[in-house]
Amino acid sequence: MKAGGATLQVTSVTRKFGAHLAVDSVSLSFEPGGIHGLIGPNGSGKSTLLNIVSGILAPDTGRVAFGDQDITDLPPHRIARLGVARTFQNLRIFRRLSVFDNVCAGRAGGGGLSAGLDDLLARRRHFDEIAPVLSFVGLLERANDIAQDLPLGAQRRLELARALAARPRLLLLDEPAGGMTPVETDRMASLLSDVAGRGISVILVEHKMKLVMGICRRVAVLDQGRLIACGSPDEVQAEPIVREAYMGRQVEDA
Amino acid sequence: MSEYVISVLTLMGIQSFLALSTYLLLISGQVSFGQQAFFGIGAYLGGALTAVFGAGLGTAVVVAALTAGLLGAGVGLITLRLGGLYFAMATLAFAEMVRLVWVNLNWQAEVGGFLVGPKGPEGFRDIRYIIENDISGESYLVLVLTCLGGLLVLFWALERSQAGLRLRMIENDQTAAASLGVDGLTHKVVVSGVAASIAGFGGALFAHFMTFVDPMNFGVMLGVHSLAYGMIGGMGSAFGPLIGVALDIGLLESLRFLSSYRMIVFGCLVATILIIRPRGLLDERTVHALRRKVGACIRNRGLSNSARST
Repeated sequence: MKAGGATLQVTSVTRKFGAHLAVDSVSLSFEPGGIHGLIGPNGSGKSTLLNIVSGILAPDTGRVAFGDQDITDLPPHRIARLGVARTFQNLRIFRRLSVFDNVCAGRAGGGGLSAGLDDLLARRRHFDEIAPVLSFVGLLERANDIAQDLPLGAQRRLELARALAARPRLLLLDEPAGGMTPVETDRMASLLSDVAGRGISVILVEHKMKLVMGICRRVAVLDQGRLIACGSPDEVQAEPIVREAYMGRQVEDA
Repeated sequence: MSEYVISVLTLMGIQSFLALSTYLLLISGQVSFGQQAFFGIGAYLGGALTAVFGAGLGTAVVVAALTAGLLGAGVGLITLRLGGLYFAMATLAFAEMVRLVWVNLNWQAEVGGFLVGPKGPEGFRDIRYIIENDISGESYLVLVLTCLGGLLVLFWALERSQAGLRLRMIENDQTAAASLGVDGLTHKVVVSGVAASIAGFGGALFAHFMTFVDPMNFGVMLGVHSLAYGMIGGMGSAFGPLIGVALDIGLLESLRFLSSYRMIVFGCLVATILIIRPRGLLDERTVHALRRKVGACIRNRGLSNSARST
């Protein structure tokens, strides 16, 4: 899959959990290229929206399209094969596999069932492809460690490397700097800028404002499941409704 | 080798098929208490093919394995949408259903003046292929070990292939595996078919080794043991379940002098191993370290060889 190309189009997507409206008729368009921020207070529906886009959750109503293909009803593995990779808020690395195998896993998913059955030495042959990805995230020296032995920041970078190894066109990142120290966060920011520089579109869900405002081309703001603002980082920061969502309102609406 | 040693070794070889069947499910994240069902299907079907229909041993074993495999994939298709514990319960229920089929199966045919075939709770007697064909205990042991060796080569290949990596991905985290394009359900259905056919293969070998089988051979305890093989021996490599079999049967046999207390001793030992090493003796971490050490040895030897030749 080559980089670039496809627009991700979310059209009036709604998802309820019981009586709770997690995502409330959100329509958003993510043009290819650059980093798109998706921010909002806790429980505003950012992760739910990512899960709907990647196929883990089905929307109650609304459509999701990637390029000219409707992906609303596709299972997660089919969406992944279209070139949509993701990371998870609660880190889902393959804990008992080595760091190297974790990144190999990014390359292993692509084909069908029989893909790679014939390819006995695939992992060794893939070394040339895997090594650059590992060194990109600074984990080449730890390639032979078991993944769960890595510190948290390194585990987040490993999950990013695994997603990159899948050669995505679109990368969905759910709080990639969650739990990171400021130094680690800066390192993640420069990694993400490099990723975008390679022509991979990124949708970034993140709480750390400094990170989001520093590297995002456009920012969309969710509050209580609704899209309340969308624009460049400066425009969004200037919106009073965004400040209200984060700081609270002085007078409650009726 | 004494006859006793030969028969214990043969039994270990045959149990290894069951152990590897359950292990294949374990490394793709499925805990099954029901592989004894397919072992039984292989035994009854394989036995019937030689004893009633006059087929050769090779044909019987292969047909038994294929049939068990198809059934396994079918059962997988139905049960695999259940997760974890529910799947384990479904496999247990299925195995008990199959055992009850054996208890109620009365189907005998006349062969050379004798009635041969499964006779309900009394079992299926006179599976006389190896007696009639004068196959010695030693050559049957060689046959079993050769088949087991072939199976181990297949496992070795699987663990090195991308397909094997995908199974481990599913076992570690199916959601993450799906996010990388792995279709978990399809993989699991195929794995459950392949695992069932391995068990069926072993079951057919078992029936011909024992010359008679009865429904008691395929009860829940066999399922528990087959799961214990992988969990004691370790889930890092196919040698893990083999170690499990050797420990299980070896210990049970060597503790015979303790008579009825031996299961207590055995149970304590299993519990101890699982507390100290939750993923078995040869767990993933150990196997990874071993592979690296062996790899480094080979590379060093290669270097010193090339140094010598220059």
